[in-house]
Amino acid sequence: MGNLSAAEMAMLPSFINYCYGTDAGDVTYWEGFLKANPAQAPLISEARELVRIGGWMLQAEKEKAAALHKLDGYLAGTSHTPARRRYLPYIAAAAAVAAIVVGSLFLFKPVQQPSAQPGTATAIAETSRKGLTLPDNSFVLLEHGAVMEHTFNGNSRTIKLKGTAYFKVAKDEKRPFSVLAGPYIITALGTSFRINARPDSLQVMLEEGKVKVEQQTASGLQLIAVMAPADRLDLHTGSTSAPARSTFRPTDLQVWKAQEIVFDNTSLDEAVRQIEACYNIRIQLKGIDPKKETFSGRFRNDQLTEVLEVLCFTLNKKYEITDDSTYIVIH
Amino acid sequence: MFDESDIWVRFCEGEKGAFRELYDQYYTRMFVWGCKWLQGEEAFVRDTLHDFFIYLWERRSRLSQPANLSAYLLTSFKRRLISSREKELQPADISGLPDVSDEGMAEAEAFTARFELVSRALTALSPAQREVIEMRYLQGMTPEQIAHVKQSSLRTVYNLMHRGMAALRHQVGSQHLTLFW
Repeated sequence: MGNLSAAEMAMLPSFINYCYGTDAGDVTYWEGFLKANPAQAPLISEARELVRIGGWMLQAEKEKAAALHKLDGYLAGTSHTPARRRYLPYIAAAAAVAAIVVGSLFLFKPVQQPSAQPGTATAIAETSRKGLTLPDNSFVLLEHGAVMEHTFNGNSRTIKLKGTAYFKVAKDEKRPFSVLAGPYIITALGTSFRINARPDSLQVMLEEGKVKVEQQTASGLQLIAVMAPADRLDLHTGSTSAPARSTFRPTDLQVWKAQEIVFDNTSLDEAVRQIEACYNIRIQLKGIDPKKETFSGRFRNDQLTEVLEVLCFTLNKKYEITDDSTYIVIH
Repeated sequence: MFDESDIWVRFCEGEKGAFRELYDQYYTRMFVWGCKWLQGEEAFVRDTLHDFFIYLWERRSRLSQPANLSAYLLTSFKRRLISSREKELQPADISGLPDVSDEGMAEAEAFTARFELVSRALTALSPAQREVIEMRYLQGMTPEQIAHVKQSSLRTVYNLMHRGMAALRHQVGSQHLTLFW
């Protein structure tokens, strides 16, 4: 290792896994390496910096077309009066809506096939994130590639999950809400949390309320943790080490939720629920029948005001935000 | 070839094409630079960056020709980024923000060298390789999930990843690696 440069180190898949935490074995390896070679710390931090730069660069390249589009809207709309506003003037929002509608033609249609069993349905988020409301009025945000199957009956609500999903659970004390992820069971009453279930690991981030995490073992259910808000739990199947508990900043989850919001001819009802869940706010509609209107749009890492401007432009409505910015009225 | 001083002169004269070109040319570099200072606040960096360019544009008639355009843009963006962040945060949260006073050209130049290094490496990737590497590492998807989303075989995903990483290493290997160490 001694002769490796920071740049070479930054190109090693195992090192990149370590930086992003994508592989527990690699994280352990590099943490061990750092402990055994403290003199290499500056080299490692330089390599980490390069990996971070590469990540942001890929993100910037992806977002650049949208940014240029926004600039063009600005240039087209303000040649005489350069009034500085934090967000797009309406004329630019019109351009954004046009682009969004065209883009949405390529989006996938949600798969919701009722299977043989009554009360059971499968949902897959294939090419983009998918927000959906379950029969009990709980809201789920499925990340790319996530597969979820739910079975609801009179005394239980059971979800089978592969991949990452965020749940905002409707309160129902008589029917516990359980997510099965591999050998683990996450049980909640009324609460919201994010789960990342992979074949060999599980991560749970709890936003509000309380959940308990259990593992199915040969000798029955074994309690792993009871989590409190802002707790993050990382588990690795087959690992003997204790589960890693840490806390996260509420903004981390917020940023993740707003990363991608996709509406494809979605009923206004659903769209509003998803915006509420993604930005932790409440929206009240006045003079609009949410069942009759639909909305298409695609947002990436957008601020709430930007989403609201596009939504209100489509509906030809206005919005108002209350002083504590938790409540919005669209009229 | 991109001519820094020429584009800046045209920008200050109010040529929209020059504004667009400058934005296009500096967008990625400045976004990455901003993320470096406000980690985990990518959306905020992106919005502030847009505002920053418009802020420059509206004051173009009063701007002078900097000796080093890149370093000038980077340092003034950083100052603006951190002061707008301070306005949004509660006083108690400000202590964690980087100190603006310790900025300097040297810091912007060190960043530029790293940025160029990574940028040259990433140009070695094909769009498909880029996408797979982005999904694998940035979004933390498993090769199986990528194959599912891309509707391609696991083998293709592994190939793309493997060739991508090999291209990166090759590109880096052909540069002068002792740049930093």
